[in-house]
Amino acid sequence: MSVLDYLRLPPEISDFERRYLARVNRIGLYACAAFVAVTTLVAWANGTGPLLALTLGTLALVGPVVAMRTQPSPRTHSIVLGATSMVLGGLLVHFGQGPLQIEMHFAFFVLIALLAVFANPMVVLVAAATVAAHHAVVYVAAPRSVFNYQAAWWVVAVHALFVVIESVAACFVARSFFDNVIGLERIVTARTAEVTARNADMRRVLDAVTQGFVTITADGTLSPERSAAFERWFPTVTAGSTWFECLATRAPSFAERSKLAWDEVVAGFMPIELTLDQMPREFEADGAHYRVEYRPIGASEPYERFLVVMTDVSDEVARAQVEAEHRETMVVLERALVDRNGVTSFFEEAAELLKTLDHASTPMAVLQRNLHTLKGNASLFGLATIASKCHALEDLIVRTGEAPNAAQIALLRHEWERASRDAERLLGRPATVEFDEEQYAALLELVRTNAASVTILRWLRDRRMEPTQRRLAQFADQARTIAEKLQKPDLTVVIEDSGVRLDARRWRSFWGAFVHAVRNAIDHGIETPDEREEIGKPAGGRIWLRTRSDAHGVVVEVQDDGRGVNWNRLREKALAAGLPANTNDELTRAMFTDAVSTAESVTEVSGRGVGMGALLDATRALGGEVSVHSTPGVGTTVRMSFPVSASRPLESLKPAAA
Amino acid sequence: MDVKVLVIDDSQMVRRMVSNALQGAGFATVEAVDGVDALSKLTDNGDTKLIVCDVNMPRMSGIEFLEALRNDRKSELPVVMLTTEGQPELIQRAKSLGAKGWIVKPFKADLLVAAAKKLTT
Repeated sequence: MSVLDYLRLPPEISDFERRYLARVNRIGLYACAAFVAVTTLVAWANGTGPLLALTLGTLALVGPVVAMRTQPSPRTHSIVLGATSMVLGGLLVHFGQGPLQIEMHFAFFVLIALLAVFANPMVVLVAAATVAAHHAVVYVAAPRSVFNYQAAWWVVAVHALFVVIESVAACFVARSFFDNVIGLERIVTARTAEVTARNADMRRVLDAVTQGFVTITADGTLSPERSAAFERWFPTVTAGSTWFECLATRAPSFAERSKLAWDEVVAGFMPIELTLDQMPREFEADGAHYRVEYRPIGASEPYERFLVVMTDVSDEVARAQVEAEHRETMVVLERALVDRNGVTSFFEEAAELLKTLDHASTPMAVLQRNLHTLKGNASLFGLATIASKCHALEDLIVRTGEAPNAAQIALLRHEWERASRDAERLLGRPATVEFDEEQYAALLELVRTNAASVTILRWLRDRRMEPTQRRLAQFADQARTIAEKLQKPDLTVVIEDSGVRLDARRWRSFWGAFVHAVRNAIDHGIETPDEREEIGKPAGGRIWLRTRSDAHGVVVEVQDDGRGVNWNRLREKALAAGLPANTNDELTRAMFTDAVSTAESVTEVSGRGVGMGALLDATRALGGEVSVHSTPGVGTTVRMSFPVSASRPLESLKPAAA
Repeated sequence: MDVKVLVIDDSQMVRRMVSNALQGAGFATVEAVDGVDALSKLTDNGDTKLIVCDVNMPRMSGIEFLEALRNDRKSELPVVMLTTEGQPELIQRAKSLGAKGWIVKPFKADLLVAAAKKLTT
């Protein structure tokens, strides 16, 4: 900043400065008037002509009065007042002639110091110039008017030096006064404008973002600043309401859980990272999915404010859904390539199960069992979305003790219809009998050699008979998946199918329920790797899946090398359920009764005590019986024995009468 | 001496996971399979400083255990409940019995350790 800029104030005059100068200028004018009165008194006491003093003094006041009437800038008024004060000083020295004349010069020094009150270096400067000009002129023209002794030129110079020094100091005081006090208002205005602009920027950001932003206090009260998306999602929010009340208007149970978890956050017993991490995250309302996140504001605990960020994740969820469906379609396709009829019968059987869910008359136990079977089979065929919908319905039944309502079932049905549409497209007509080239040649050979029609019939019928090896291999895959899920890795599955073939249509329901036996063996039979190592078994468990057939019929078995059945515990459970539990037979029956299960936890793979009941029913439907052989610490065998009739195909072998 | 924590859960897998996390952070742990087992082990170990307790267990549930602890044993030991999501009634019941807080399964080991540290200092 140059010296000139320092002396000259910036041109704009703030309202504050204007008001201040108006007041100080007025006081300055009154002071000048009082000065004239004092000069008149001095002139009277000194005998130097009070009338002249009054006249000249009053004339000097004309300047500021005229300036204040005509000049718009209050700073000009101050400058004129400054110059006038010096003229009045000159009059005092003139009328103060005599022994006190030199003391009268103190008036100049006092006045220059006082001029700093105008907060304007120019006032000081003009006054100093006025007094310098006055002294120079009068020193030459009428020296007695300024000095009461014969002053040398250098005495005048010393006199002037003090004025210069004081003026420099007064300029500094005036400018500092202006910058730091008068100009303060300007600084505040500039800051305010900056903040307003920043607020406007912030508002534009809040209006433009697609997320809901709002800050809340520890008790959940919302701040008035919210993003436009937030206002859109919660149009009815009123001042002073809390975030959780707001949330309750769209998702009451999510709001309740959030409030409960929030109480933990603010209670402060648990680490805030943990309690914030446990805040419920996603909810669904009016067909849209939202994610909610909470972030503390501030450097350290205790936090007084939190930022709530709410995001519409419907697209994300929809995309994930489509991807999951796509993956499932691929899995079904893969299965269909290997075992087309297996997939077809799964879909047929699942459709039957689903029908029973719609009947209000279906007993709860059957409903639960069918859901459970459907869940198991769906995950066997890779339909995870259907399995998880079944799981959710099972949960609901356990929690509420009531059958799911139509809307809840509709969710599952909707998922099912999508999957079966896909399957139909992939599979074409259901259940086909295919011959490969070799088989086709064999058939031609039979016909060509005039084989007996019974032989041809048997040959054809056998095409419908499915090797159990294929089924058991599927269950082996499933068993390994279940074992992984239950953290019992390295499961060995041994298949001993003995070349048995069975009619796929006749056995469809049975195979559907058989998965429960496999699941049970792994979940409840096989111990955890740690437990196994403790008792000297290899860490990975082993199960056997067997079929065999002889003159007495067909046997299907699942054997495991696990801990064996806890008969005591089973007995307790059976008695608690009001069932007889004395003989082995009775205990076995109890084991296959709904609501009796030795499971101590419900997992996604088993443990609701409904699966084994389904297995028993399916076995009996084929005229079979179930028996359990178990040795504690060694393992369990669940054996299903069927009469010969079960091994026959559905078609009659008798040739039609000629 | 290591700070002792009593871990109550009927699932061996969960007990093992909780114990591993806590032992890794310098805590000593005692495991119990349910409320009854826990009450018997609590008499043997008067130096227990914190209890981490499952809610759903056979014989004696977490809530019943908490009642027994507060009413019969007159113990004010800090208790953290292990729950699955969506059990507001149970949580409220546990809070009214003076449970310090709850941790949702599946839990993050580092956060469990942070909670144990905060509640034992």
